[in-house]
Amino acid sequence: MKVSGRAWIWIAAALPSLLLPMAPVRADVSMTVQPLVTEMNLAPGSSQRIQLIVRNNSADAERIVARRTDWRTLSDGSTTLEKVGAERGHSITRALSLSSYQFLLEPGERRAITMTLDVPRTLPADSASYWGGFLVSAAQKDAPPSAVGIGATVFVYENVGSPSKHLKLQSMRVFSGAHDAPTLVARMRNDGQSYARCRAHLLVEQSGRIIRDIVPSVSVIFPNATRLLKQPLSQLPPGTYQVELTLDYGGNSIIDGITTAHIH
Amino acid sequence: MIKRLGMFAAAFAMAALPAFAVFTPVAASAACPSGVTATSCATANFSISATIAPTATLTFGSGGTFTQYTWGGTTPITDISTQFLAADNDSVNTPTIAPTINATLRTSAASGSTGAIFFVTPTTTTTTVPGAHGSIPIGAFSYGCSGTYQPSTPAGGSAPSPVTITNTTASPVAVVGGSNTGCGLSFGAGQSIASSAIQLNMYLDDRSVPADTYTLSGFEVVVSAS
Repeated sequence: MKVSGRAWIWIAAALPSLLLPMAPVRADVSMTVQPLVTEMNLAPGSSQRIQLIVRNNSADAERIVARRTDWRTLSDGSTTLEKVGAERGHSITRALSLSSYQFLLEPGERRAITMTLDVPRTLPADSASYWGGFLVSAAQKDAPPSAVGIGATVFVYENVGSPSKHLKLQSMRVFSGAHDAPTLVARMRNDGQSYARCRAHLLVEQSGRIIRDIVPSVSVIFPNATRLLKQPLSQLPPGTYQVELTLDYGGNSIIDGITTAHIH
Repeated sequence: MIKRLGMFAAAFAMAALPAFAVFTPVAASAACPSGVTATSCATANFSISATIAPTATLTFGSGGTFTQYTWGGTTPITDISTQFLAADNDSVNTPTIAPTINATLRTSAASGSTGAIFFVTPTTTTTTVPGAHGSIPIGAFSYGCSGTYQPSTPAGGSAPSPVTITNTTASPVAVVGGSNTGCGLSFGAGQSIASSAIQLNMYLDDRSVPADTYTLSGFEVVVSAS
């Protein structure tokens, strides 16, 4: 459809692209970050240092920038980054610091930086879980700000005391549509005080035989959060199956749920 | 009208599972074990705590060369025509490169570690032109994607089927400042992504946008473990 009587609107990803001729640039930007996950158990007023390794694997110099970020997982299991403090009383991000937040790495160069968690003395001594972290980004040294970059998260968990761990499997059912693959839908709720990092296992059985052995992805579930796990069970021929879901959340028990699926 | 802005892509890889072990002396004794001839002996017991943490190695690019990606390629996008852009992709708006995402991602098999890929977007789009009108809320943009991820389980087990991303141009989703997971993916513990090919398309409903030059920055492809 043509636009009439209207000025052109120019939208560019980068102003430099308007001003400078675009020279071909190698696209490869590569870095290694480790570790991505750190779990701590410190008392208020104490601190802990962790070494982070960042390496430039590319053939060009890279600009590394680390920024504090709050984060959480959503009900569908996806991860979202948030402004610092968004997790309110559970955010430990402001208590985290790095020995360096910005630096250049030459090709092949590796740098160790120190991440420190200073647990505030003002935190309640009661058992509770906190979390926070950093987003570590890399871009070619000469790349314009508009360049699509890469990033890796460094997530930190901190438990004060021993917050209770408990996960509840609230419902579990297999839905089978006429045109869609049958899907297991399980609803879980973390009704404990601690975050729950789960290992899940799904077995599809028929007449005593295991037909399918699946390891669903269940990202961390925070206290008072609900998770809806949707796991497609594709390529199952018509029939009746037993579907068994096992969840190990690191507590005193392992959750086991069984349901029957009728595939038409 | 809605304007097709272009495509971008990435390639990244993630591998390696480092183990960190902490050895802590627990006790010492001056008593020598039988059979050991010495004036004094010191023995120490150690408690060992090990953390298996996932490591990310990311590589972004197509393996070849191309001009630094800008929405619309090297030519600024202009509002010439348009409406539903997938079918109205005039040459001035066509990026010269339509690269793809290729990924290898390995998460730790240690308890509860899962991996994810998602996209980080800016919270606003500003203009840098003196006297210009201002910014475009990032919510005015939407995006679509299509392609597949091919998971694998190198350590054994059944090979999962390719994961098809079907959020195509027929139903673009709103860009939300911060992170967007609509084209993302989660990985189970110990799984990896052997390959992927994802194409992303960005759209802008520009009916309420003043004519101006705007800058987009702050897009990132992020891998994560939690």
